[in-house]
Amino acid sequence: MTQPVVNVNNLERFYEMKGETVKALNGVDLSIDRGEFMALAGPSGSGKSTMLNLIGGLDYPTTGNVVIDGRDLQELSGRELAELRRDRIGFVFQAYNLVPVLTAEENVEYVMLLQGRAKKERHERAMEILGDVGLADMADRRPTELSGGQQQRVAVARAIAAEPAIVLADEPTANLDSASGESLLDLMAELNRLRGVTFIFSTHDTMIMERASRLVSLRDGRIAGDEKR
Amino acid sequence: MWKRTLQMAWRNIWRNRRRTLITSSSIALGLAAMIVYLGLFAGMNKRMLEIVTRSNYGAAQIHAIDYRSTRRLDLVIPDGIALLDRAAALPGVEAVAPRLLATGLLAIGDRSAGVDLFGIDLVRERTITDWHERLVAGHYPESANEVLLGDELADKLELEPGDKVVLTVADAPSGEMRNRLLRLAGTMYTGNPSLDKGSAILGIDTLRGDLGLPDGMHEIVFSLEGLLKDPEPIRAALASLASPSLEILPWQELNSGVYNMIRMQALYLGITVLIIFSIIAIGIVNTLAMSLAERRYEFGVLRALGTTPRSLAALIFTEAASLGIVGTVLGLIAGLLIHWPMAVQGLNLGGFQYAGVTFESRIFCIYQPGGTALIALLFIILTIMVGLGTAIRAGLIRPAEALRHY
Repeated sequence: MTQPVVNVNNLERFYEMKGETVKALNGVDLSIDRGEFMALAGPSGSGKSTMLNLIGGLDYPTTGNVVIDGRDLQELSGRELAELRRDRIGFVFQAYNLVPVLTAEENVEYVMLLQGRAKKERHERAMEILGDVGLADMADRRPTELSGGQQQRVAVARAIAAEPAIVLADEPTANLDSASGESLLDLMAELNRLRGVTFIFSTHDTMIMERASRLVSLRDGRIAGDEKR
Repeated sequence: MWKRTLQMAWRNIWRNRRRTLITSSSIALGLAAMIVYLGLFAGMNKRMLEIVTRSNYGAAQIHAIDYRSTRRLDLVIPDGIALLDRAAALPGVEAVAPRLLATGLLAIGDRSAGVDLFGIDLVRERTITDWHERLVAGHYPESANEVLLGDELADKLELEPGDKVVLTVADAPSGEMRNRLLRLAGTMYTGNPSLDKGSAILGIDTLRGDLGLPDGMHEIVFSLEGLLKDPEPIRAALASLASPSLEILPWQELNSGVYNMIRMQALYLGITVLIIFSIIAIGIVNTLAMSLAERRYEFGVLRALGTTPRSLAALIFTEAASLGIVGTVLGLIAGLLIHWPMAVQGLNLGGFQYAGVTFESRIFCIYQPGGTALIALLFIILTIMVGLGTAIRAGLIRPAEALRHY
């Protein structure tokens, strides 16, 4: 039996907004296995991004807990959470993913730098991953010198460079044209297949939903469907 | 990691080149102004000290007790000649000179003026005051019947060197009026209004004869070696002359107005620094706050990647410090470039009056390396302190909240 990499137990996240309580997540239980290529789908406000933020340790639940690789995020300090994100979780956001003052290579190296890896190792690893995403010859370019699709590829390279347990991708294709989106998805699927990286997407994009090995639908903060393929 | 932080901070501050240039220029201008201000005030103080000590007071004076408050002519210094010799032999004393003081009337034709009379030793006085260097016309008195006048007094009496003038004084023992015909040797301009407008300087023996005070002197004036800034060393140098019948006063007490003004300049400097710092601090706070607001999402991304609050705060802090260092370096260069011609060629204040002293000649700025270093350090500390507040705020950003801002 495969060991779940993420366990979500009775997760609730409520916000106070203009005097009213908004239930972004309202009692979610979910288990995600290592190597899954999973999509969280649902309309705006269904709780996809909140779910991703909570799994990524970027936000705190109102009740319930998230366990990553056996570690309960609720029990971690701010610093430990930062270390967990650094070592075990990769992030790809919708846009403006990259640090604008760093080159593509420096962006990919950034997390490894936080980990304290040696310069030579960082460089070699960054160049290898940039080669895998097809951008080895653009290593010294800053984000403004790259197209949107190229920037997202660098973001994916950065997300997997430190060999995380999971990569959380929040609508990664939302700002790309369909050709660039498909190419990015091909890349992530290949990394999933070849390197066994677990991908968790939040998305509206039917292309991602169609290619996901598991589709979890959210509606009004609850799981409305869970389809494994 | 610190190398990358430094690199990122440096690149970040140049992301908005215009804003960085405006902020660092404000730091630079403030520092440059302070460097020039420090140098100018050091130059003015030095000149003020020269004017006060060399135009009349010397470094210190001795009078008979009660003379200064009563101005009685008979209150001469007891055993003045012997005291003068003892004073001249003291270590640290460069020169001494006796003076006999009185008031009198100068008249020529139907024009007359009341004057303060300075009976001086024509040779010794040259080592105390610079009157002989401040001649506007004619020459320094050389003989018993010659007199030197302030140029404004001479103008008022319409006198020119070589003209004759009648001096009337009251004999000290009897109070009888005595007249003497004097010849105007020359006129001088000292920058000290009381000397220029109402004083007549003549040989001490001439005045002694007219006042009936043989060997009399009301005042012994000193020139001392070394610094004259503080009264205590002056008092200490002359302590061995102390006697119950004498009053020994350093120039700081003889002209407390100028002394207090010089002391107050430290306060003025502090207030000016505070005002300039406040203006600059507002600029830096604005720059950092704008940067923080604009880059909120970016900070969210950095936090998501595993950057700790401390590392993020360190980045912002380094940006603020870099901004401060850039501004300070520019300020030092600009300040020295502006200061240099003012130190070499001087600044013509064109008769500017300050604390009762007229700056009739050029003021030369005096570079203050210690003060400059201190102000530069304060500027860097200021930026760091302002940056620290912003850095702490950045460190407290919650990643999920920050990632909603793009």
